[in-house]
Amino acid sequence: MTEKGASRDRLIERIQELEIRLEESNQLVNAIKSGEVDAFAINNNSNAESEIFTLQSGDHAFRVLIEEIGEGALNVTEEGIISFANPHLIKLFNKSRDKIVGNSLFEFIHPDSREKFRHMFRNALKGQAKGEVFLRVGDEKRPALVSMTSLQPKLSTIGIIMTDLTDFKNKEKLILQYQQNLKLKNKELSTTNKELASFVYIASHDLQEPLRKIQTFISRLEDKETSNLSSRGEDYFQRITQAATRMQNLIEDLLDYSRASNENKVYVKTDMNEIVNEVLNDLHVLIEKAGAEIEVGELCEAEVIPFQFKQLILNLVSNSLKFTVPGRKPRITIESKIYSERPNGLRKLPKKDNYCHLVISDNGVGFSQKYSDKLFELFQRLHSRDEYEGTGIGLAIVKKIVENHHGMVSAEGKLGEGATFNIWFPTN
Amino acid sequence: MKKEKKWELRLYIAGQTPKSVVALENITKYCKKHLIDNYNIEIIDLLENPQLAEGDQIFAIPTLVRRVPEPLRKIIGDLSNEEKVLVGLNIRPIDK
Repeated sequence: MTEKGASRDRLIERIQELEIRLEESNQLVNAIKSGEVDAFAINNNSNAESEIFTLQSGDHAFRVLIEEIGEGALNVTEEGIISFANPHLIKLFNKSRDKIVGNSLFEFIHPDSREKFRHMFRNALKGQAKGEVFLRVGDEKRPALVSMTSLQPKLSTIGIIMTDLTDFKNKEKLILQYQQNLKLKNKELSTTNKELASFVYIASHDLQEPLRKIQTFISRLEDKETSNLSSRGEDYFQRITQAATRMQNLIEDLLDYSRASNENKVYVKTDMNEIVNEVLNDLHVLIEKAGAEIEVGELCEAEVIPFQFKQLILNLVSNSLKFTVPGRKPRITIESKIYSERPNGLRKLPKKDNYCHLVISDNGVGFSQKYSDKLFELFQRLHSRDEYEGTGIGLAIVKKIVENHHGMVSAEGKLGEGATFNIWFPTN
Repeated sequence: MKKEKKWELRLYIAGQTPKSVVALENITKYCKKHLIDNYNIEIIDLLENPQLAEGDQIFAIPTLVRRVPEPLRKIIGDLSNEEKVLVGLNIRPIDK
C-alpha cells in the first residue's frame, strides 16, 4: 500500500470515529432537549467520585407514596410529639394541621387505650410495636391498627402507620349478627321439624284406635248379618273392609316414617348380613308365595341404627317382592362393597374414612329412569291401585333413614326389566 | 443451530426519578415483547452507587447500555420511543 493510500485509510478511519462521536453527542443533546433525561452524573475531578444531580428529587416516588396513600403516616419524637403527619392522618384525626403537628400524639389516643398505647410506645422506642388501639376523634372512639417503628439511628423519631378499622369492625359486627340470626333460625327450624314429626306420630297413633273399632265392627257385622245381606250389600262390606285396610296400612307407614325422623340416634356396629337375615326371616311367607330367589353376598359391617336399617332393608325387599312381572321368577340380589374414601361424584356426603356401597337389585317390573327422583317423594306412586298396592310412603322412609345415616340413595330402573337401589353411607 | 447468546442490558437510573421509573417500565416491556426470555437486565442505581457511573462513562440519566451482544451501544433517555430503542439496540422486532 502506498503512503498516500495509508494516510487516506487513516483519515477515513478518523472520520468514521468522529462520526460515531458526533452521533453520540447529538443523541445526548436531543435526549436532554426533549426532556427524557432528569439526572446527571457530574465529575469535575476525574479522580473523585461522580456526584449525582437530579432535576426532581430521587425520592419523588416515596414522597408521593406517603402523601397519597390511604393510611395515616406520621413521625413522632421520643416524647411523643408529632413532627410530621401525612394528609390522610390529618383527615383521620379530623383536626386542622396546626392542631396536630407540634402536639402530643397521646392527646389523640382514647383514654381507654392510653395504658396499652403507652406500653406499645415504650416497646417502639426499643424497636417495633404493633397493635389495636382506640383513637379519640372529637367525641368518638375509633378503632385503629397502629404500627410503630423506631427510626434510629437515621432519625430520632418513631415512624407510625395508622389504619382506621371502623369500617372493618362494623362489617365484623354485621357478620356476627347474621351468624346469630342464622343460628336462631336453625333452632326454630329444628323445633318445627320435631313438632311436625311428633304431630304425625300422635295423629297416626290416635287414628289407629277408631280405625280398629271400625274394622272390628265391620267384621262382626259381616259374620252376623251375611245371611241378611243382598249381594250388593256384601259387595259394599267388601269395599269398606278394603278401604279400612288401606287406611291401616297408611297409618302404619306414617308411623314408621315419623319414627324414622324422631328416633334417638344411637349407632351400633352391626353386621349387615345379620340384618338382612332377620328381614328375610320376617318376610319368608311372602318370599315363598312369590317363589322368589334371593342372593345375598358378603356384606359390610357398619355403625348403624339397627332398628332403622332393618326397616330400610325390609322396605326395599318388600318392594322387590311386590313389583314383580307376572310369570317371571323374581330374583333379588343384595351385595355391598367398601370404599376406603368418599367416592367421586358424592361431594354432598361428609368426608369420612370408609364408605359402604349397598346394592339391592331385582328383575321385576322396574320403572322409567325419568322418575328416579320422584320415587323417593312422600306419597308418590307410579302405579294405580289396580296394578299394585301401596301407600307411597315406603321409599320416602328409606330416603329418610339413609339421611339419618349421613348417606345417599339413588335408584336405577329399566321398565319391564328391573330396578336397582344404590345406597352409600359411611361405615362409622 | 448455534445457541443465541443472552442479551445483557444495563439500565442506569437515579433513584426513583420520574424518568428513571419510565425507562425501567419501557425496557422491561420491550424485552418481554421482543427478546422473550433471552435477556438479562441489570439495574444500576447511581444514587446508591455514584462511583459506577465511570465504568460505562455515564453522564445523562437514565441511560441504557447494551453490553452483550457486542459492540457496546448506548441509548440515552426514558426509552419512550420504541422504534428508536429497537433500532438503537439492533433488535429485530417481533410483530404481534
